[in-house]
Amino acid sequence: MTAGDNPAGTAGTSVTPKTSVTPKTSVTPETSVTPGISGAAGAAGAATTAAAVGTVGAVGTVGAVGTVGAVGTVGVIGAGVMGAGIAQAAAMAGCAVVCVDTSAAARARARHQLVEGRFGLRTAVERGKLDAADVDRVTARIAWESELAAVAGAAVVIEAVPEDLALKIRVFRDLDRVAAAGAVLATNSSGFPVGALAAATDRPTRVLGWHWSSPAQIMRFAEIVVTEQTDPDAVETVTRLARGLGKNPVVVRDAPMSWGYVANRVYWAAVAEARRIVAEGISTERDVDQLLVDCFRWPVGPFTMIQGATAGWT
Amino acid sequence: MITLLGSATWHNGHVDGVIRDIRRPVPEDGLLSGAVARMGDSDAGPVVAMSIEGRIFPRKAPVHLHKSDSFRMALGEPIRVGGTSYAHGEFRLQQADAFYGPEYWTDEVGTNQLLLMADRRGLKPYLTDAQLQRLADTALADDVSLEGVAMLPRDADVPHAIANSFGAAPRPSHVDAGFTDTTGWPVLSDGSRLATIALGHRKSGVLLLCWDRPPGAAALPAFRLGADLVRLVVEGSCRIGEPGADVELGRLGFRLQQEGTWHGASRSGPTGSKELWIVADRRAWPPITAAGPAEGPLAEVGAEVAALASRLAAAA
Repeated sequence: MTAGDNPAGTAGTSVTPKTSVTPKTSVTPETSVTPGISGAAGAAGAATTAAAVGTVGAVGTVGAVGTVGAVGTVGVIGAGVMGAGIAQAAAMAGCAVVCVDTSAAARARARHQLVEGRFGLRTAVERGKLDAADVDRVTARIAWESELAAVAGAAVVIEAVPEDLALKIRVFRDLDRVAAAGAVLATNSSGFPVGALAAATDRPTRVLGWHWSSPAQIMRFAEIVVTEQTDPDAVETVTRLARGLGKNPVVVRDAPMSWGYVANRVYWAAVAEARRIVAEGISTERDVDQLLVDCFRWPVGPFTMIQGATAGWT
Repeated sequence: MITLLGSATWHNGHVDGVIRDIRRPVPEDGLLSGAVARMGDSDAGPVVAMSIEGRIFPRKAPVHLHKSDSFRMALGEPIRVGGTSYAHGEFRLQQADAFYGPEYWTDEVGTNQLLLMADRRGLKPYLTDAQLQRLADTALADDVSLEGVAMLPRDADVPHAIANSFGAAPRPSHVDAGFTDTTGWPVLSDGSRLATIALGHRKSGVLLLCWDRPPGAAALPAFRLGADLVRLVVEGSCRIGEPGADVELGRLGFRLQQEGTWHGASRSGPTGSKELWIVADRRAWPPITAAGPAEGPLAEVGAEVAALASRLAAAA
């Protein structure tokens, strides 16, 4: 089986100009998130309400850390590779973050990776992207929680659970019950129709897609996917937040009959053609990869990308 | 009892065929060419389709769920479900009542794949989009594959469960595996590798046996099983003994065997065989042989099946 995901995960970025960025994987994380809804809430830093979106000033910006204004608490569901990266990106930009994962191991791993990981805060310090004194401050902005209800105070909640549609629908159904009335619920799906997730909630106008690429804390990619029902205010909230996080948001329309939005659909077309070329005996996987790297300056070819995305990067 | 949507001539309780590219004319060789077969219980038994025609939506199907566990395997050409691509012999087990998709056909005609719905009453797709649902309902109104079957309503409780013997990691609502990599499958005494899968109703659901039989594996004796059986060769070939002349099933060749009838002795071909066996009701395993209760690999399968059944009972 071949999992498809965002090929942009290996592109160079302006955030780390001298770094060869080879992500762990752009496939959504493997952490199990089956949110248990309890009355517990009130994660640290989760005091901002959805109503405050667009009214709050800059939140605790520090030194070289980027600034983001007019944003409340960001909720992140899932503390796998993507979820943890998203949480880090938001925290580095000054947001209070509540990251929820039912797995204690996943939370512990994410907490460790936040500081010590390949794209973590220590590396950011080494590369001059963050003052050493800010490591603790950024770390303190993220509350790692086990209960979904902890995101009750978040203005924007970004779902980053494994790429299984039934699971995502279940999470959205549960999120709809616990999230603040006006909160925007965003999915980091690599391609599932957003309409299917919106339909699981009683707030389809506040549901949209925010497709990230890995490593989320570095890549500027932000594919914002809107349905016919999505409230323009929700789109504005998320695009503003994305810009504040140093991303380059591009708004695209949801396609109920297709998987992959824009980036992955184009990439899949390239992969399909590459496979046909190999099947026809015209070239080898290795040579196809090399040609695309040399011709288009792709960081890696499609076959290497698939290998990396499914088996991990070495 | 196996019933086919289409005519076929049965010999001694079985009919042989081959799954052919749905885009090419069917040669007149007397073999059944693909099939839609209903198996087992006349109300809630499984249904198997050996190719999918893209009749409702062109080129792809939108996000939907079925009120049944299902199994699909790519045959010859890749298939795609959501962001996952399946090459020939790779398969996906999809939990009942769980949305998945979109599903991509190869082209406007459809796609070569085997689709098994563990409970035929779950064949109807339920969509997230009301407008698309109306389109689907209209198209399905005269679909012969649903004819005479009382479809389960959307809110029906479906006591289904999926389990496997080879440790395939379940994604939240589906399992991916395949004949392309059998190294993790349990090894039987004759050198065969076997993956055992249960899906559908917790007690009376479908049993899938995925065999990777090497060239030198011992012949399986003739046997009689108390449930309908579909036997499909995914790779290689196998030879089945028959009165008069043996029958060879090559790549994508299949046999439909009615419950309670004798299946001839068989052995894998010169390059071995990778085979999928679909047993309509797992309670019928093990089969009996002329010498009495099954021995050898057939009996070893019995132990695997019993372990699966125990696991399902414990989880219930």
